[in-house]
Amino acid sequence: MTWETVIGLEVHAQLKTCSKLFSSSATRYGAPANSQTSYIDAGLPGILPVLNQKAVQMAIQFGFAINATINNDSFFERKNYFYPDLPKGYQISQFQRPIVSDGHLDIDDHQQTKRVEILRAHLEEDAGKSLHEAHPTDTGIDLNRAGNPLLEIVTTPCITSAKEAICYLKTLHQLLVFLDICDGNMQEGSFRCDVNISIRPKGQNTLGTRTELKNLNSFRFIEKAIHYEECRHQDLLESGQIVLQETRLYCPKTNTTQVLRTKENENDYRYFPDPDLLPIHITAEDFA
Amino acid sequence: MLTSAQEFKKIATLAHLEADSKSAHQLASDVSSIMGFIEQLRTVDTTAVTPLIHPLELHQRLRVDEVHETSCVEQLAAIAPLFAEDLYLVPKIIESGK
Amino acid sequence: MHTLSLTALTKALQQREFSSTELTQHYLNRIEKYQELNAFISIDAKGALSAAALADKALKNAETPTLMGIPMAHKDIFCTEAMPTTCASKMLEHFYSPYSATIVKRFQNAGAILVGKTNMDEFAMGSTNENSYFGPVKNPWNIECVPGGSSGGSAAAVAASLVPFTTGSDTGGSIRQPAAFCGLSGLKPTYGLVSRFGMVAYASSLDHAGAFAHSAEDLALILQTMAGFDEHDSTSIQRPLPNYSAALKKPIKNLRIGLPAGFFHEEVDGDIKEALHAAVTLFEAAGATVVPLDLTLQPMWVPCYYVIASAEASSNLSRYDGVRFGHRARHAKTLQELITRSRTEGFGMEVKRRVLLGTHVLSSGYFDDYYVKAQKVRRLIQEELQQALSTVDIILGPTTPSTAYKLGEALRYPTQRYLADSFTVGANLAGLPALSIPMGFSKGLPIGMQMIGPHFSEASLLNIADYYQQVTDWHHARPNEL
Repeated sequence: MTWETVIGLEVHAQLKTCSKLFSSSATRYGAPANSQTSYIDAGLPGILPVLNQKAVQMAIQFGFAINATINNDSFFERKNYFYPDLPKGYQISQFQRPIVSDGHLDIDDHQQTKRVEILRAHLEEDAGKSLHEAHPTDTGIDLNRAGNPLLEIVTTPCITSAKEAICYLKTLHQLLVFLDICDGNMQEGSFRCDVNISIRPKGQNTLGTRTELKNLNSFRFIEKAIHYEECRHQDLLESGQIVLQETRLYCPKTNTTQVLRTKENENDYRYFPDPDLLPIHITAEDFA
Repeated sequence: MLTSAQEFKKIATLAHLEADSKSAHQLASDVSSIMGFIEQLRTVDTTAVTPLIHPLELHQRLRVDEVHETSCVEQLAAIAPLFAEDLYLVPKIIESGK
Repeated sequence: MHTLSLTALTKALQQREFSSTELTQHYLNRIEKYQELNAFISIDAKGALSAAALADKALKNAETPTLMGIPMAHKDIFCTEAMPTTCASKMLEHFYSPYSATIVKRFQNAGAILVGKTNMDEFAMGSTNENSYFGPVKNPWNIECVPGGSSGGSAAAVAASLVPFTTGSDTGGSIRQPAAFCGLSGLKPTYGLVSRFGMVAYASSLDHAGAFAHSAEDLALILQTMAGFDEHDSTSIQRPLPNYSAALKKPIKNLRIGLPAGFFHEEVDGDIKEALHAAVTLFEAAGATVVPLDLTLQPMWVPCYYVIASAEASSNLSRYDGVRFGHRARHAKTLQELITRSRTEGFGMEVKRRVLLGTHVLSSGYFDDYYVKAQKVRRLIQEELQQALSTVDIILGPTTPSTAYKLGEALRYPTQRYLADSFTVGANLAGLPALSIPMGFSKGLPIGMQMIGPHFSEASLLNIADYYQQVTDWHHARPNEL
């Protein structure tokens, strides 16, 4: 049996703005814990979000660079779930109508040009950080990062190998840094990648069950994780078992992936339009 | 309609609420009866109608990208139920991600 | 002193007939005397008298803002640095907000004296003020009756002359209905006219900040201070404000009044219908014409409201998880336990009911049939109201189908209680300004008349209400023993 790999990539790029997406706190990396957390970032009762102009401009700039459609009247939605690093109990994101859609990025993979289709790029706020080693019996939460502006860039499942994935990611990384909309610092979390991977018999049209891979903060790890998953999927399917739809974490120490959560435990995010924010109106000036 | 205890439990879990069996029964029954009351919305013909999110059809005002906030960690600490060494504390989370 | 209107009080202070300190002490004494009404959750006598002393200094100068030295109270839904903001919930029982709401700052800058925070239904969910962690509020007209809700404490405080005016919030009628039950003038402005920054959110697209006073003339003064653009609120409107007081006393000769048939169905008290017709007669005598209206979607107002309000509330209340502020469950061993127990212990039954309902209508499999459907019906409701308002200047009707219920009477059936909001929620769904003013009594309990106008027609609404209050005396009535 010959198998082919199908990969879709989601990149969260932190936009290089001075202030956060919905509050005027600083976004600088490495500040003392909770010193860049305003009342808005902490989700205190009564606070309200106001949108950062520069973040919108950067998203539009990116949209142009990838020949995408810039959607007028895109709007924000709430992604509802509970986690201590998510102060409001919901993340302000975009779902039904992202600011950018249907673009592409051409990558040069060994004398061959491949067109990677970018389904969408949308604005959303980042969550805080959970620090598990900070305290013996408790997890510590630092909300400095909560509210930082992210551009989530999603491809279609058009990537067929680890090599291609890395090539796309490096090209995208270069583009973002060149446009000066992201500093691309992977160690600091400015460029984070999640991989959606499945395999199927060569020539089959329908997609196999996919695994979502998280916690990949270097190109090397991404490559290794993809290779591991390809083998894991193949081993399962060839031994007559099925691939479960799961989210898995890559563990660099063992070079394996481990289950984080299964489909059954997945949240129903109950997306709905955020009533505290109005639709983003793009004018001709924004295209100048 | 909330037809089963299982459905109720699912919603309660999503909302991070729990109830003893008596309250759960009361709440489930209340929610079901309100849902029954809400059913009448279906009688309205909404073909080709776009949903209304905001009462006034306006657009989002954009804020200039400037930093105006300084640290308010002391004020946050003062109102936090459990806060130590500049961090909010919660029972240890086993998994290392979401 | 407490029998004077707000307008008269502002003049008296400016003319130094008495001092703000005397006035504030007088109200503080009354608040203490009428504690059994349970209108207040927090009182700050020391802070109030301090502020009054400063106001007295300022009043020695010629030019001071109109509300300088006037005591007031905020509904306990507005964040105040000076005292707790509880939203009448165990969840926020000891919560001190580190910042103050925009409208709180505006009244402070205008020199008004904050004496305390008023009682309310928990997180603004309710219409009787019986859903408060701090106990029910009593109607000053009959202490066996409810004052209405959710701004019951704010209404009771003004009705009993414990302060000359209070702020309130109105998501489905929570200012207008208590105004009707307590014989007051209550205003819910156009959506976006008054800032929501610092007003604890219940249902963001339906929440409005507003006020209670004894007359439209008083409301004009209050609105002038409250209203106006706030950069901290994305839904705040940027437009020049009229001078609301200067817009009063204009003739209402060509006024076209719309009367929806649906506001006069058989479930509405006979006394209320009669009072409304008497009011209409008065308007007609001044040259107004009546246009019958048929708001066919009016029966859908309440179900539509409940889907949207509970959906938004279920999300707005997710921040209460015991981590950053508010009630935290003890001895929770896991994160899940911490969040679930904190919320279960912190919220009352009505809040839980609405959070569960909201979670359900947003959940996968139900979202399109309920939430999206309700938002579509909402657009049709707004269109119908706006269409009606293109043929008339105001829509008139009773504020409520009945007078105030007895304490404990309404609690039994949720859907029955919800129908009490039948006439008020439409204005919230459409974002239209609406007010309630007293128009009579039935068996000793006040009756209110509601006027709804087009967006940003507050000046006109207040003018019409003020006219009615020039030719009638209902707004002068005060509860006997008080």
